[in-house]
Amino acid sequence: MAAAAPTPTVSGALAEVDRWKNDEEARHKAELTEVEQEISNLDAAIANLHQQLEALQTFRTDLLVKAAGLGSREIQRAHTALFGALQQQAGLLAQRERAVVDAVAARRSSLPKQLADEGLASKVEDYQKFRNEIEPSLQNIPESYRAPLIGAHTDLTNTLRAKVESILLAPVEMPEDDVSVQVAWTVDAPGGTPEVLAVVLPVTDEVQTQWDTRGDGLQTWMAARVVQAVYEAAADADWTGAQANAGGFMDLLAVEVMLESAPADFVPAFEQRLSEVLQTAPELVGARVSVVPTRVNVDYVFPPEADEEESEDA
Amino acid sequence: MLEELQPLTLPEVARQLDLDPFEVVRLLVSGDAMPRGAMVVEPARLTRLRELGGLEGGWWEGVVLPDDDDPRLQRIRGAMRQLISRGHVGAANGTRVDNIWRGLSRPEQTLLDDAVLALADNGLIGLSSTPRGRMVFAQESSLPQLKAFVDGGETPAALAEFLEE
Repeated sequence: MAAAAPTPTVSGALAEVDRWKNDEEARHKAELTEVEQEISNLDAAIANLHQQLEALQTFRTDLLVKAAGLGSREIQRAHTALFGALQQQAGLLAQRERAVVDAVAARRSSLPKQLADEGLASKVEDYQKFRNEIEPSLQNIPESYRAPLIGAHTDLTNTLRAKVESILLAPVEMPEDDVSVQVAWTVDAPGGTPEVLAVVLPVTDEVQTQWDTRGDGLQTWMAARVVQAVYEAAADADWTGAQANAGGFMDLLAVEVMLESAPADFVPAFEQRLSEVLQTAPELVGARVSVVPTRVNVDYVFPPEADEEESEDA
Repeated sequence: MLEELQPLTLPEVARQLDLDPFEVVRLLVSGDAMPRGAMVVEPARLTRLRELGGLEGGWWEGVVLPDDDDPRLQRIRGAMRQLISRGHVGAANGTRVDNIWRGLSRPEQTLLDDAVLALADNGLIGLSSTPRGRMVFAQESSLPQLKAFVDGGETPAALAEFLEE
């Protein structure tokens, strides 16, 4: 016979409920702790993502600014590169100028020998004797003698001068290798109408600023040829109002022509004349200097000011 | 002594004519005389260049400058007085602008060059370019004002601004 099951008691039943409640509370507490941890983890992750987002937004802004400024940085770099190249070329030209000036001086100092080689030594001697001895006392010589003397001296002077000029009017021929340089030029036409023609030469600005003390040389010759091209082009275009203004620009020589009153065919005429003049100038060819005119973007010569760029962007 | 028989370099020509070397080039182009060999000029051409360009001798020998505390204004007033007295009034009677300062020292030449630009800004004198050079003349319409300035009157605004720099 089976033993009878214990009879449930009220206290036992309530104790069972207490156990259940305690178990449930412990489980909820554990779950709550777990959820709190998850929330905390997510908050930290969100904060981290916010930081990353802010960093990316800043980076994007920087990139947009850089992209927008690429044009002006390109212009600034081109400006620096252009003038750097021209200044280097000016250095090469200055070296060749020294050699040419020496060659010209040597040719001039050898003039007496060259005249002697042409059989003119006695004529040179007569010329010098007249200038040193006869001319100072010419007023003491009777008029009837004086006129023939002066006439003979004039003839002699003309003979010698013609010979001297035949020697010195030829350009010096340099044996060195070719020096290759460029002349940069541009036209500023902000509203579509040309306002200024500017030419920058690989030549020191001292050619203009110190012309009366600097002396002659290759750099002066090249500058003179550019100015020649301006006035020949003006004549080609029937423009009487052309004015070439030379001055220093970043230590180099620049020639500017205001174009307000220039006819439309002046600039094409200048381009053609500049090319012809620089490529055929005998003294440059003799010095073995090859000059190539190069038209450049006006902003590379005159970079826009920052505020100007901003207003253009706006 | 043979130097005197030799052709002249561009700076030598400029010195002899007391003219900017690039203005010499302008005259050589105008006279179809740009060198076709070495960049030199035969001395015989100088007379022709002087005539072609209308180059006058210096204006200043024996000239008594007007009274002024500022020596720069003395020179500028003196230059304008001569511009008027020599008859360079009106565009048809202009003279080469460098005739004004030929024979003066380089600083005085620069002073007058800048002063001319300032007075032209004020409309008292006119400037024009020709194949032979830059010309200057007193503006007929502003002649009373220019005369007043020459006689010691108020310095025109653009010139005063330039002199203050």
